[in-house]
Amino acid sequence: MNTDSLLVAFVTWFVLAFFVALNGGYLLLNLFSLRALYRKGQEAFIGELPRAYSGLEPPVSILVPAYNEEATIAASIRSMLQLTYAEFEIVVINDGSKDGTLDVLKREFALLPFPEAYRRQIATKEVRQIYRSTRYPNVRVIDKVNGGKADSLNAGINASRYPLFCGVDADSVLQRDSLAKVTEPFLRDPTVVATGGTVRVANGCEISGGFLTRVGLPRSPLALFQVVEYLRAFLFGRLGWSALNGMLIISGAFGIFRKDAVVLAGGYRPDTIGEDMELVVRMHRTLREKRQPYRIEFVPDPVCWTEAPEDLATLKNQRVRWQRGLAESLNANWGLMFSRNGGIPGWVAFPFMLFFEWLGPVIELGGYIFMFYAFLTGLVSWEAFGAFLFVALGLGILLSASGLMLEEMSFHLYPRGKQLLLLGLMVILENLGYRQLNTWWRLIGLWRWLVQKEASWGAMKRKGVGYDGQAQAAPPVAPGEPGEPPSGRPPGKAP
Amino acid sequence: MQASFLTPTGHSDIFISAAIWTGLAALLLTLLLGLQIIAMRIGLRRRRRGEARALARWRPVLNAAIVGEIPDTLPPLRHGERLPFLRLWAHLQGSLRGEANEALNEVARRAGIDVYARTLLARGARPARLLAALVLGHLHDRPSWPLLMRMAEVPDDTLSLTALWALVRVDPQAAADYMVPLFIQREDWALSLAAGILQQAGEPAGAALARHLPLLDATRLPRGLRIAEALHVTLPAGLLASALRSEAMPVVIAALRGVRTPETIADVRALLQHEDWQVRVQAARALGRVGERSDAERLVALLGDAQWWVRYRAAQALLELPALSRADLDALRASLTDRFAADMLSQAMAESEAG
Amino acid sequence: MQNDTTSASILVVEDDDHISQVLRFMLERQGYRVTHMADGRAASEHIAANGPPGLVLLDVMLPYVDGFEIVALIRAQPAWREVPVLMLTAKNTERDTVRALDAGANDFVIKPFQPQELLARVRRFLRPAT
Repeated sequence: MNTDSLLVAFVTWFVLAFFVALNGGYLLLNLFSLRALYRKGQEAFIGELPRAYSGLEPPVSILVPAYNEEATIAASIRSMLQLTYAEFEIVVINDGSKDGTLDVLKREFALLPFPEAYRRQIATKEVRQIYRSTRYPNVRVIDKVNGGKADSLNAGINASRYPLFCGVDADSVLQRDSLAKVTEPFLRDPTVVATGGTVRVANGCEISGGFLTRVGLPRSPLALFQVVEYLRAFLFGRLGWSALNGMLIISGAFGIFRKDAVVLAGGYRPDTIGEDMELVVRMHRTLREKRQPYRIEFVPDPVCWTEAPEDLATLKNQRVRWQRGLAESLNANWGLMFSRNGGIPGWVAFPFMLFFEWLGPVIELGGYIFMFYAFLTGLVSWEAFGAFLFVALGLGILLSASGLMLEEMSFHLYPRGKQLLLLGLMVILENLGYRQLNTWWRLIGLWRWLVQKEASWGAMKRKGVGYDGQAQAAPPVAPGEPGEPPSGRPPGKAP
Repeated sequence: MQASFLTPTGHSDIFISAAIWTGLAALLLTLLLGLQIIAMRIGLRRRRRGEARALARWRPVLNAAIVGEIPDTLPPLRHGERLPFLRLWAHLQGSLRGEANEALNEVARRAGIDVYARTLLARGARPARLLAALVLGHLHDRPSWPLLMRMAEVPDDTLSLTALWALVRVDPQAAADYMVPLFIQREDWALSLAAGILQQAGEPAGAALARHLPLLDATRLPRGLRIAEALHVTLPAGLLASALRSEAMPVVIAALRGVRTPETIADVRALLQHEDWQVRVQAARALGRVGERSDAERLVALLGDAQWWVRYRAAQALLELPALSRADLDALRASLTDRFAADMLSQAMAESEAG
Repeated sequence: MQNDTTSASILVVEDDDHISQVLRFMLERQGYRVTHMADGRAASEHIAANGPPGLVLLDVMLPYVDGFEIVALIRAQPAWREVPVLMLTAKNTERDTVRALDAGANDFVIKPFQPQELLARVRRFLRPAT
């Protein structure tokens, strides 16, 4: 009897401690981001003044992987052409679409085949043809055999001309100054190798011509929960990590990278689901191993908007996929954890992700289930159960509220008072079921990952060798050709 | 042993109190946050209304000044209006040039802005000092020179760069002399920022640069040369020639970037065969700028280079050579046996046609 | 055939609020009638639906439809084909001024601009033919 009671006591305390630690950890991150936001807000004034282009801002190659996007691709690319930035090119990668994506592009942009001497820095699936727009001289299209988003991005990297590249989703809605904002850290600090932009929920906003014209809130409760969730977890949490230089994720929807650093790390991995996170974690690992000073920063300004799923099935699939991506990214880069030169990424961020994000759903859901079961079977009293719920939900609400406060302090994007009240209500409601549902989905994701890992381990190993073999099949080139070492210069024009 | 945890009516006091206190703390903090949010929103609204009022009062005055008709009497500038006024004023200053700038300056001085900005610069918080430096720069305000010089030396990059920008506008000559060695030394400041500020100094910057470059050693010279290139400064001929013959590769690369006239063409040709690919790339580019017909052969040789970027720039340089016509280039391409060379030339030709 | 009222009307397409207010003030003071459009799409709709003004003052960087495309639209409309177009370019690189003139603009002014110079260029295009 005594060991049982000890066991129950231990578990209940452990669960309580876990909830406190989880929410406390994120609150701490929000605190770090508070400081960063405060400083940023002060500089906002200077940034608003019109600055004559001095012609030396680092040029950027925007890479847009597209698969079956015939309906929206032309409008997306047109809107990207309007970004207010001194010099950039757009490289669309048609990933073997089965619909009319390539035809739409050919028509709308007056594409002509372009005899490009394609440079294979990273191995990819076969590139069939490269086109260039005669109407817009800085737009090119790569037509290749289907290989997935990571493979397309690698092909885009191979074809890109400039030292920085920007990975963007075809359905991301940007703002005209988005590119200028996310490249600003590169200007301030030559050790920056990658920056991530914030992704916000576009549902309920007015969008025209591919740009956001008015911010609004969605009607669907599921989308509203996601608005609050993004504020709580994705926005300011990441800014906090960025302040510590421990940011492990840059959203694939909008991120800027230094090409040489990415090539050094090996490019995107084509066989993972969460290729965006996996690359960033690998960049941390590689650069730390090589002891190169670097920074990966997060730009909190609202620069990128996407449609959040409004039905449960799509949302569930998305979250399951995210959890699998997280698991794969961590699993592929164990070398970072507690490594000798690991720094904050290796000693704080990676273990945090591992325990609270990867393993977290198990403990969270397990905690709820255990407490409920224990209450039902009388192992704990109703007071204890009630107190537990009070803490779990109370801390969650506190965390969500802190996200809302940071948003109001920094960007105050939602102008009407009613919208603020609605968000306040959602802060509470989000924790009464949505967050738990999310945890359940993440648990499913974890399970699926475990199951899939065992099954396809052998297949993945074989595929890896095959790709390397293809790359070496090129005609004789000097051994120095692929992956030239980064020169360490701050990004400027190409040599 | 504590009271039994298990019996249906027993409970662990410690656990429950710990949980309840934590929960209450969370609740209290949440309420505080809620109040804070509301307070911030109200404050925001009030600030916006005040700004709109200030703009409505002062915009007509500034507009009149811009067209050359400053009113004889200005309304007094109220305390709360100063910031919105300054923002509008600075925005307009940045968007216009010529007499309009001086007219806006006169309005600012009559409204006492220069005095206000100086006090902000000396005693304000960080954002205030930034704004003040900006304003004083537009005003070409000499009395604030010492304060701005001090601000230029702080480790905070945004503050120091803004101070430098202002210093240039107060006294271009003196500022150029001070800044050129500073910008050369601070490798962590992006070239675009350094060039943007130095460009404002105009001619004195070029002169200061020409004076400084011969004094630099091999580690600093590349950056100095790159700044000179960004400012389109013509370098003293001897300097470029000696830089091209330097032992240090970064110096050679930077010097090649600055080759604009044929005086140093012999050195450039010699560097086409250099062992480092970055040097070959820059030599090819330089030859495209200053080469003659006879250099076509040398560039064709580079079309077969092992490095992609060397081939690419050599092809582009071939297109830039003045003496080669389209027919010549087609004949050249047809005569190439190396597949990579032919590909590269085709690409360069197609690019130049597409514009 | 130009009569006096149309020769005094100007279409200003500029997205910066402060600059557009300055432009409006400056031009109205000289006696011109100013129509202001704040983005490329509103401008293209206006061009399609209305008669030509005496002059178009056009910024290059505009939301939705950029200045170069607007010039092409203007030149494609028969009634607007002869309307003088004055472009405000912010980038002071050679490529954009060349592009402006190639696109069909009659003249360009680099930002930051001099108000008196801008007015002089406007007057030049709106001078009645002698």
